[in-house]
Formats: sequence, C-alpha cells, structure tokens
Amino acid sequence: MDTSPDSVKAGIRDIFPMLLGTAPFGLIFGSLVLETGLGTIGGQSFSIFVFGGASQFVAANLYGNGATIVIILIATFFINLRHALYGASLAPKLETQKSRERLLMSFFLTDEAFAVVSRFKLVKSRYFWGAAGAMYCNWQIWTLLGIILGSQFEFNASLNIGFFMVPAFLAIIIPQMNKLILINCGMISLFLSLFMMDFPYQSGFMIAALLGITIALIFDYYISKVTRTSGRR
Amino acid sequence: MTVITFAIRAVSLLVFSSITLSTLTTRFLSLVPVAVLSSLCGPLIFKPSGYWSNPINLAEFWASLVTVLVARYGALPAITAGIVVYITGYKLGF
Repeated sequence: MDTSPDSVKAGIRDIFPMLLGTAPFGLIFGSLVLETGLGTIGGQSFSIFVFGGASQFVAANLYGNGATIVIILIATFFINLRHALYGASLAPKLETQKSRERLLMSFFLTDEAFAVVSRFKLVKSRYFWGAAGAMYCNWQIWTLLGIILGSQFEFNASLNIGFFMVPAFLAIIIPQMNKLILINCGMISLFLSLFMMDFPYQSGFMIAALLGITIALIFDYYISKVTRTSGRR
Repeated sequence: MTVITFAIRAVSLLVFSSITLSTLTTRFLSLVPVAVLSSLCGPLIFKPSGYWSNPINLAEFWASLVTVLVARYGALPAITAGIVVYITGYKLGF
C-alpha cells in the first residue's frame, strides 16, 4: 500500500482489532502494580508517562523484587531497543516534516502502532494520531480497570495471555508478505527467535530480527545474481 | 524510565529523518516490520511454555495457522478467528 488514509477515524478503525488484543495486558499490568507495591497512582503513572508495554511489566516486577533503579533502567533500555528500529523504519515514511510533531509521535510509537502504520510508504499525520492515540487511550483504560478490578478476580495462570497479541501481529504482517524477500525475512527471523528467546533483557528478539533481515538480503542478492546470469545465457 | 523509553524512540525517529539513506539502508529498514513482528511471534507460537513442544499439540500453533489462513479476509476476522481457536483449543486441553 502506498499512502495511508488521511483521517483520524481510519487510524482508529485499523488499529481497533489490536485494541482488543492488548486489553488482557492492560488488565494484568493494572493488577500487577498492586502486588508489587507501586500503588494506584504509581501504576497508572507508569502507563501514562512510560507507555512501554513489556518494559512496564519487567520494571514493575523488578521494583517489586527490590531491584535498584540502575538495573531497572538497564532492563528498560534493552527491552525497548527494538523501538529504535521502529523509529528508523518509520522516519522516511512520515508525511510531517516538523521536528516537534515527530518528537511527539515518537512517544506513542509502540509495537501495535508501528505494525499498523508501517504498512504504508507514506503515513499521513492524522492517520498516525488516530491509530497511536487510540492505542494510548486503550492502554490507560485497561490499566485503570486492572487496578480497580485486579484484586477481585484471578487470571487463569495456565492461559497464555501473551499469545493474544500474536493473531493481531500475524493479521498485519501476512498481507505484507507478497514478495520472496519478505517471506524469507519473516521465516528466518521467526526461526532464529526460537533459539534466542532466552537472551537477557529480551535482546534476542531484536538480534533475531536483525539477522533475519541481513540473511534475507544476502539471499535476495544471490538469487538476483543467479537470475541475471541465467537470463544472459 | 520515561526518559529512556522516549529517548530510544525519539533519537532514531529524528536522526533518520535528517539523513539521506542509501538504497541498501532503505531496503534494510523496509524489512524491519516483518522481521521484528515475526521474531516476537515465534516463541509465543512454538515455545509458549519456554520449552520445545510438538506443535500439533499446541493451541497456539493451530490458532496461528487459522489466523494466517483467514488473514486474506481482513484483520478483524483473522484476529477473531485466531483468538476463538486458541481459547477453544485451551478449553479442549491443548
């Protein structure tokens, strides 16, 4: 797809399926902050000012276990490092050239917002704000509900809540896999991540992705070379 | 935490806004969404408990397969189908 729709409503519409996927995470985080001693205000503040998803969980757990602030910050850094790739990938695609707007957009750049807007070669500002804004509000609501309701029900520990994001991510990337290089990249990254998932601070995901991209590009180069050579004969 | 999270996102977004990228770099970055999302999904689909398991016995695997097959009909049907299959598989003891 070349250009995103130029409306807030379209952004909200396109990210809506992912709002449902993140609901369990918000609920769990909200209930987690009570157990770790962060409290209602501390917990909600996490979601308001950090808006970091997985890093919030890790930081809350570390806080609850008495980790020092340095350890929490180091963990946050490595867990969120993949967002640097998001920014790099999205930068050439954003329509707005205003630095202040881009700076503000970067705060709202989460896995889900990135997944939705990165499908386009040109991302209109209204579309980005619709998608990212909806995700932000959604996260606040479910965090608050988790805090309010957290003590009143227990999550079934055997249900893999983490899996709920997978259908959302697959629904985004599968339609994009329309070229061999994309299929190769996705398959290789997925395969490598199975062996790197236990790397410290979740760094394995990013390393698997970087290696997947590199290997896919190398494959593509050699396939192109062979194709050109065969064509000359 | 806010500073670190925001800085990582902001620096890359602003730095790559102000430089001219080579063709190779642009190609590299165009593969980032598929690569990162695939790497995030991999362990959740094939090693949900952290250990190697036969995928046939995993509700996560079947739910993902259904999601992939239904994805051509749109994101919402695909996500709904995936979650329904996962919860059904979970209830059936997969």
